[in-house]
Amino acid sequence: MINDIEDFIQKSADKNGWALQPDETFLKTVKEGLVKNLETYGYYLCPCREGWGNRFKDRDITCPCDYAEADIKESGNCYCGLFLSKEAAAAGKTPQAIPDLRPDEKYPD
Amino acid sequence: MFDSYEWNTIEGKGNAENLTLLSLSTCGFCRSARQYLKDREVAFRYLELDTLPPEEKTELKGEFKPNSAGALLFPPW
Repeated sequence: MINDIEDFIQKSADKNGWALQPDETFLKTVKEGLVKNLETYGYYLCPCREGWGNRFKDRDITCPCDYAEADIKESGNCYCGLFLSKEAAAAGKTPQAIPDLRPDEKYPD
Repeated sequence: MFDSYEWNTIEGKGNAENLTLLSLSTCGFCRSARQYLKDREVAFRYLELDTLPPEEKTELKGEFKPNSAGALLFPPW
């Protein structure tokens, strides 16, 4: 499972031209969170968002989420801090918690 | 408020009941927030919502919502 997640995040980063979180401790938490969510829900639900447990309702917050590209462009990292822009990573920027672009009404009550 | 839950309590300066953290076990920023408080020896209590039974989670969110400007987000920013 760990090999699968390593492969998944590296390919996602490469495909989109992003860098991976350089802080090993933070990265480990996010990776373990994604694996836990895969085991719980059957898909890579964003580890920093509460989902419905339904892959269709959670499609936009399944990693890499629909908001990642805009977040990385605007803030230098995605919502959960897994992916960074290459510029932010090169500058040694610490990922910051950022506003959520997902509309409130898409979350469970 | 929130008195009926089994909180994880971190001892430190102040009263843990005065600082409540709702978090996700899977979230890196939630973990960083806990570490930030621990490093400063601030007393607090926390729950990881994704580890709660569904009914308990719904009840807790119901208590929290009146104090929230919108959806319950992790991490708060």
